[in-house]
Amino acid sequence: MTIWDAVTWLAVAILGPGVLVICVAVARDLRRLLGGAAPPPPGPPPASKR
Amino acid sequence: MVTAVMPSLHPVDLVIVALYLVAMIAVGVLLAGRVKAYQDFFLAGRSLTTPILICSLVSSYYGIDALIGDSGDASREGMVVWFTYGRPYTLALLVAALLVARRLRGMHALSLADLLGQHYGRSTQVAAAIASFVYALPVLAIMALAAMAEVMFGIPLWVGACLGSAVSVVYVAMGGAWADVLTDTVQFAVMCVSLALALPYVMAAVGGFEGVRATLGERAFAPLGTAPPLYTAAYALTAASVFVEPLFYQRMLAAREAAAIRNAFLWGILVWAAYDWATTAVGMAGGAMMATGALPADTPRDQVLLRLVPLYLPLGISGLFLGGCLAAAMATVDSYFLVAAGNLVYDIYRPLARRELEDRTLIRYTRGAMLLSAAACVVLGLYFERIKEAWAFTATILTSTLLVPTLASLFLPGRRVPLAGALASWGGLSVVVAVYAVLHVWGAPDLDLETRRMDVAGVTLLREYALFVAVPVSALGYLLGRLLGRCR
Repeated sequence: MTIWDAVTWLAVAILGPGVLVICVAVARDLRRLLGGAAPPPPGPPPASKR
Repeated sequence: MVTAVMPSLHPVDLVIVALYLVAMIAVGVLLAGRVKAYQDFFLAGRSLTTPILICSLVSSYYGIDALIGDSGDASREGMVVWFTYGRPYTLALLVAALLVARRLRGMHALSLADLLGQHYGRSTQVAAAIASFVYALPVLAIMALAAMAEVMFGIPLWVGACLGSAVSVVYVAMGGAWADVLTDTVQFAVMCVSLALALPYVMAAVGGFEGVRATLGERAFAPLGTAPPLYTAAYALTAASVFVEPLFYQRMLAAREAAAIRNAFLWGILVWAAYDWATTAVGMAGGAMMATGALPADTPRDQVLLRLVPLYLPLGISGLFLGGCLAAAMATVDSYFLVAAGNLVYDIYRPLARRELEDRTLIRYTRGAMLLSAAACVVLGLYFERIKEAWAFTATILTSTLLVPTLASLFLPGRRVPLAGALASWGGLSVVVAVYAVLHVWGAPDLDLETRRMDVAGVTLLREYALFVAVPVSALGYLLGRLLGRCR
């Protein structure tokens, strides 16, 4: 196995299990946001009338 | 017309692809009722957290154009694609994450063009919106989708382009930024996991990198490549477009807090680098297959990935990978259609109409503008022959028009001089249009580099060199405007 093959396996680890971990965190946040459990932050003033 | 390669797609693979498409449209339908205010429609209520931003940024910025385009380039040019074309973007993203994001907090803008309009005035906002609109048109993704449809099913390019646009427009027009973000999450998972699954099979088929080296030689492993240095530098410098990337500004303005966007960029850099490596490796494997005859030696570079997938991936994985290609495309197409439509309605029509528009009117107009954007996208997509040249054109337009006035507004506090912004933005835009027009009319094809060239007094001019002229002109325009203009 060359160093490039090792880097390839690292990329597989990031794109596979790494991405799935991120998606679990997203699912948690989306459930909270779309379920309305957490109030949104205060909104900005209205946009200019330009 | 290319003869269709497939019919080796199993019905199971086709069912997987079909289910994915139906699910995306269903998301748009379900979320349509939640959209009330324009801020909800365009910025998801400014409530996006770090994990959501990671998914959305990575999947939107990297589309099927990155997958097909980079792998195709790597099949011909090797590792230069990862080292020299890709890593300048990593550096630019790092700078954007650490320096730009926090300066946007407290700015009540809906887009980059809106931001520049608040700083310099209406003229700059319109120039910025035009450049942003041209760039935001997901031409590359539509071209790649059309190429995919042509290779897979023998569908004419223009039909594939129209179908690809239509599906994405449907769900984002209904659900806005929330539909965009939610589908981005699914698309992020599918595009990354499918590539992670496919990569070992493809590399095993050519004997890993040892096999690639034995077939393609050391030339394929040169980090700087073998093209003329100035040509390579021009592509590397397109990384400057990160600082004026409309999607990034839209997401930065939609973030819940500055730390969320900074952290999303930093994690995103890791995923982007891994994705880049995977597409480069697959491309180099494709190049090795072309050299040994496993793939036709004259396979067009934008078709390398699509032709090798059905040959080496098992049942189910092949369908999932195709789903990943579609996911990569649609994650980009839907996000950029939203940005492009926002440019047309909020940044060009609204300031020129000089009247306040109700939120529901803005939403209705933005949905209509998505259809206009889709039409413009199909036309541009059929004009350019390769993904790489379409990328160079749109990135050059964006960078030349926006880089100088944007960086000045963020990092040079003090006087706001409308003339400076106007001269910088319109100057840069005009130069790019002029260079491309002149080379289109009076230039000649360069078959080696696959671009257009003109030789003037012993100097070779390529289309890609427009950036080297336009950005200095933009900077000069800015300085002139500062000297001659009046403060707001």
